[in-house]
Amino acid sequence: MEVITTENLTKKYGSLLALDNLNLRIRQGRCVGLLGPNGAGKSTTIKLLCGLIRPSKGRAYINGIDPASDPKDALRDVGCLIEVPIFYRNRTPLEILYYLGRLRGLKFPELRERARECLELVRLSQWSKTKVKKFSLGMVQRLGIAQAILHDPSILILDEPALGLDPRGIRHVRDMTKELVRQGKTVIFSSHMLYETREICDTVALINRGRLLAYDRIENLEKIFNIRMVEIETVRPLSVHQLEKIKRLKPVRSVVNGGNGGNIIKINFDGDRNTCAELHAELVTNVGAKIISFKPSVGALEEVYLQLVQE
Amino acid sequence: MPVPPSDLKQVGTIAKFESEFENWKSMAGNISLIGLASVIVTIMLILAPSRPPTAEIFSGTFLFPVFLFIPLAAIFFAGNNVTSEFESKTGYIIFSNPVKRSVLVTGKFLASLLYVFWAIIIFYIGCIVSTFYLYGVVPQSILSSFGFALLYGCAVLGFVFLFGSMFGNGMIAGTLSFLILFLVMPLLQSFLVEMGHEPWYLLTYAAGSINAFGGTSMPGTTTIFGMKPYLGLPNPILSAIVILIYFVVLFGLSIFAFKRKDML
Repeated sequence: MEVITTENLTKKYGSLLALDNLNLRIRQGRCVGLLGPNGAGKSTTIKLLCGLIRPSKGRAYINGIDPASDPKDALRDVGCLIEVPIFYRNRTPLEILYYLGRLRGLKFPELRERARECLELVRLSQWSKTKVKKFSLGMVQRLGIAQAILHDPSILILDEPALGLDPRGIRHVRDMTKELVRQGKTVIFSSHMLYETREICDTVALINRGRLLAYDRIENLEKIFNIRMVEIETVRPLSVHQLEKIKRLKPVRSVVNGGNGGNIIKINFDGDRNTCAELHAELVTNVGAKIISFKPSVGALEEVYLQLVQE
Repeated sequence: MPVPPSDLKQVGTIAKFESEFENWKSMAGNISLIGLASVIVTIMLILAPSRPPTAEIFSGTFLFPVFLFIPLAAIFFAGNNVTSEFESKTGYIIFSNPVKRSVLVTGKFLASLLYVFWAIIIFYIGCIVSTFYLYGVVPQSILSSFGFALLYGCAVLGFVFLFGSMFGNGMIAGTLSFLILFLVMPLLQSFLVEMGHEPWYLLTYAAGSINAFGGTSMPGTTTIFGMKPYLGLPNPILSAIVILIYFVVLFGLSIFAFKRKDML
């Protein structure tokens, strides 16, 4: 079932065409990464879906309802986080969550419990009664996440959720988003970070200059662009002989140094998941590589991105 | 999944949130200023070389600053209220909720109205107390004046909300409202009166009923740029209808503008 649909969605700001006939169909339970350079149209798409701006042409639908004309019904099952949110400065997180919760139909004591849970989840419990004006950027961002999940929506629209967070915070948001995806929620995740997108999303929509360049599952895109890459970390750097052996393996297209003093290499190969497993076996048995980790590399998505998104 | 409450309940939630004193010190300061203004007017009237002969004229004189005071209260209290979501970008949070924009603007309007009504009430209390202290009576017409002041407050807020919704900027909304209510309309009104035409349809003319006490009209004795702003007393019923129409039309337009404004 498709929960989010856009039909020829277009947005113009004066003479600037920010979004050009975007057609997307997002199925329930999918996690879609919106990728593209600055000014590509990602935030415009998200703002249109959340009813913040009105389309110049075309329609967007959430569960079959247009948020521009009926935000109340369209957004009832949606949690949004748009850019770094700005909250009412003189209010506390609890006051803000109670306010938004009431607007969304949550009632006490359930609202109190839910607000407490959300603040705990984003690690803001101890600041629940501190005015937001005293918060750092990262804390505000975490409060933004808390308000987005407050009513336990089945659709989440997250625009750069890791913006302003420290490395621990980024990881926390990544894990939290993955858990939400695992719970079967539909997620739209806009980010510049390819690694985050590769880790969290199963599908990507590549947008540039307002146009949708590609929209498919990540593995399909990698297949279409004939880019499949694995990142391998070994105990010791591989010898020249071992590297030559790898290059001669049938599915291998190229081998590049991935850093860490030569302990990491990236292998670009042709084939599917079975080929990937066979490659792993070959590396262990024939090449004699002592492998610590063997994982799909973000490099493949990066290659797709770079091929599609021209400067 | 929780079901969003009715529009009416959401209006109540928004009005309550917006009218809660975000900053007690600032609110207390504003209310103290209104109280102080009331005390200053009382002292000035007591110390005046000739005190007005009747309680009606005294009340009318006391309440003359209401003309100035209601728009100022509306601009200060409401200007930022309607535009804050756009200016401070809190709209990214609130607009992405299951709330109609018409509901949002109505809730904010109610909260602003509460502030303006508070200001009016405090000033009228000052008027009643000082009139009673000096004359031993309170003219009944003060009630109708109070009603007109409240209505005028609604209409003035309509202007502030309309400009706020159109431009999304409190400063522009305040300045435009100020210019219209203190310059454009009074000048046009005085000009038309000079020409012998009664501008009953102008908001500032209709609002003259606030000061029409016991058959006398204080505004009728004043001049704007050397011109008289009134041609006799405004008809109270017609004035009430005119002010009400201003309020309904301006508020309707501000909802329309608020709904169409993009949250960039």
